[in-house]
Amino acid sequence: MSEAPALDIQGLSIALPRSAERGFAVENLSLQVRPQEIVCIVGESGSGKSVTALSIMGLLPRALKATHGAIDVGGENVLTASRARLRELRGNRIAMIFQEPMTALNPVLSVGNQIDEALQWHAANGARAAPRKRVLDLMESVGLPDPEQLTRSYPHQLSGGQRQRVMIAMALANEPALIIADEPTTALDVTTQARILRLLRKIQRTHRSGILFITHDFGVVAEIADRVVVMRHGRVVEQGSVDEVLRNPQNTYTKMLLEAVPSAKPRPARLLPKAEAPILTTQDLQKTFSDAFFLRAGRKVRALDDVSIDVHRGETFGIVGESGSGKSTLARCIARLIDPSGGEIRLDGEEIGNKTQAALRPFRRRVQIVFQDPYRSLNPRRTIGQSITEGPRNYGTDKGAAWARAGALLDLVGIEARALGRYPHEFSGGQRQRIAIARALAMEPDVLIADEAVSALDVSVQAQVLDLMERLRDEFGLTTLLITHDLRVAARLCDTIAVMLNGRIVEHGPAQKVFLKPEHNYTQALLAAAPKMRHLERAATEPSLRAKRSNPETNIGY
Amino acid sequence: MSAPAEPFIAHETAADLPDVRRARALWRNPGVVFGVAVLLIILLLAIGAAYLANVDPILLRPRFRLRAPSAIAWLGTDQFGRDVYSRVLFGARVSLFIGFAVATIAVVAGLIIGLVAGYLRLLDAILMRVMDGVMAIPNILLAIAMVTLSGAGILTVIVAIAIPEIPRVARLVRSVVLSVREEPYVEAAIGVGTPVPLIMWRHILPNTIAPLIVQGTYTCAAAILTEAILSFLGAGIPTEIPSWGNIMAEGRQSFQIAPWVILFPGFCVALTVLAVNVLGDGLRDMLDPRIARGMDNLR
Repeated sequence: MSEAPALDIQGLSIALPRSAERGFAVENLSLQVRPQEIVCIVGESGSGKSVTALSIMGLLPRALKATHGAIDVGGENVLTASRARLRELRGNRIAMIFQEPMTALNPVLSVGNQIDEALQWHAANGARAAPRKRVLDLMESVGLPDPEQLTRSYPHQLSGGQRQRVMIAMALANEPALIIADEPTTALDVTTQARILRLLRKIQRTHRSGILFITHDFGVVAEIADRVVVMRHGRVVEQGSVDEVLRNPQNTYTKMLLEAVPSAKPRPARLLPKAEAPILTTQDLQKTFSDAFFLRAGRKVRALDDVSIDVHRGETFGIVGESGSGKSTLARCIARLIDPSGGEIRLDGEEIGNKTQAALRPFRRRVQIVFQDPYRSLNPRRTIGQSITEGPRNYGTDKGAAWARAGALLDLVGIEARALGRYPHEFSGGQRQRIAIARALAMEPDVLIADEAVSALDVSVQAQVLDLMERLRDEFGLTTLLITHDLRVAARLCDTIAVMLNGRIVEHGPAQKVFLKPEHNYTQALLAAAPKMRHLERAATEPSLRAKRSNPETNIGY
Repeated sequence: MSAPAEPFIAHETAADLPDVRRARALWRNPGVVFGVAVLLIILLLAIGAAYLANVDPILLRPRFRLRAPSAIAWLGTDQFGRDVYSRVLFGARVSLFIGFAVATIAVVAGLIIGLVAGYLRLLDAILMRVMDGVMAIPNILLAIAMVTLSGAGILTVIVAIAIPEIPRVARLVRSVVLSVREEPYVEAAIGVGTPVPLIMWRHILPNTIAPLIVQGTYTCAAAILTEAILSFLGAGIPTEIPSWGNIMAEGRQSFQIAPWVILFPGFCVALTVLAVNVLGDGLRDMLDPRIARGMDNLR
């Protein structure tokens, strides 16, 4: 390939402010993206991957300064370009696709107008032949249904996947040399993610743009990358073709990251004492959200539609589904954070679904929940010791005993007991999630609900927390209700899996059976859409990943 | 068996807790320093008025009417020969007291109503409609009506100014409560059986403090101005108690020949209100999480 690269970064260093714990956000980074090539930057949070993307767009926050190196886009150094020139370059030569399409699109403009605006601003003056036709063509090319109708729609009327397609259409508007995609599929469901990745691959064939794709997910890398750059603490630790890096990683950090990715293989079945009556059951559980007010009949949404599950003592019960499937609503109903609209919840045979808050008090301590966001689930103004002991103190444990136990629990989840007097902001996300688990365990619950408890964590940290949960389960026989959108996480821990779609359980059974012989076609679609790591487990002599990828034109529909 | 305890990563020392760090940053904000300095000086002048004033502020001296500022009467005299300097010093007491009292009443009442409305959804609609009703009445009109009904006096004026400020505070607190009560840490507290009053006290109330400090300073400044306006209109503090407002009201007729009677108290009102507002702005900047946490986001 003798073509000039679309992006050529040479020796880029970006300094952090003095107060930061390391000197550089990005240090001596060099990489190239050629036309029609997809280069993935992979790294965990704090690796400098997003800062790299911002610096290419000339959008670095004021506190950060590029101190060394050059970023060459189509023969022009972005770092030395004037503000006016940068504005021309953005959109014309460089385009960006963001993680969260809802916030990246303007909510008060129709999507047709927004795509048209991308054209208006950046196309050479006078060359705007038939802009409307061009808008429709663009929407057609990113696979948006019925473009004619959709141009008049507003972002909130589209699904997440459609919004991301609109973003991609805007990025493509001026045939840029380089498209930067910053975690473009992270906020999307797996089935939607699979379609967007397929779209990006299709674009790569028909357009000349090079794509710099930023992600934390090796599954996505395996699906889409031509070349891979692995970053850690602002430095490149490994760089090479997707086959080299994923099949034969040289660097220990890359190896560790790859090992931390849970495979979608279900765990071997465990022996569970099933003879007992289930500890937790729901019978035809319903939850209806409605915006009815006073005498006005409102719109009703059935978030839970006759959900019945049986969870046995010591079992890890997985509830898998995409956003809006009702899985979190189910968790919050069982924890009685919200009131169910109908049906029964029984804990050890006792009906708890329609108890009043006062009557619920003795029951509360028996079901504990760990939330998704480790940054918001601990009160920032209270020490972690205060947070962990809050529950036991509510139930009359005396102060000394509660704090002693809190120390022991911290030790159990792998944090030094003397950290009890520290505040949450002094801990990393993974540590905070362990603290949240310690807080739940302090109540000595019968059932632990983990509501997407590892979804917000980096993959290596995720592996550690999953290990901890497995260890706790094996040691204490803890019954766990694991709510997740990630089939790989469910496969790692669950004995039983229920798949939810639109508030209903569509498939339900032992993990082995659900993963290996899925019956419902939605389960099959979910499994097909999950980013595949299984390519990697085969011998390195097999055809390359790129050759093996399915034809982008095929649909997975269900 | 437990995993080897890993050392937790201490990013900061204990002295760098967010609250301590913010408190230090406060003193680097010029608005806060200016506001606090000016208010302290005025407060000291007001407290020491009895010693600093050289003449009784209500002593009538017909022979010394409308004298220009001089060595005897530092800020001149008004049309009854009363010493403007002494009157302004004593007036500071009334103005500051009214500002502080109104802010306290409005914040305390608004806080309680806001907490209740935000947390107990049953009462929300009723309480907030009442608040909307109060807000619909123009402040000055309400104050004039109340003073007319129950007679002029410091207490009446304070209550009359405080009532229309309550809904603003209540709305602010309610909005904070509504967003904080959805935080997972509040749900976690419900999950571990913490009673509602304790949840409010431990987990919700601390989040309202920053916006309340800011709202309180604005209320204080507004109250000082409103008192001046009411007194100027003759519906405020009775004339035998000097306040910045009624000093100016009385100086109105003689403004063209003796401008100092209005200028000096006017200057004090302007300076105090400016100081309180600048202090409020500074506090808002420092306490606004988007600004204060700006650095954390970069990590």
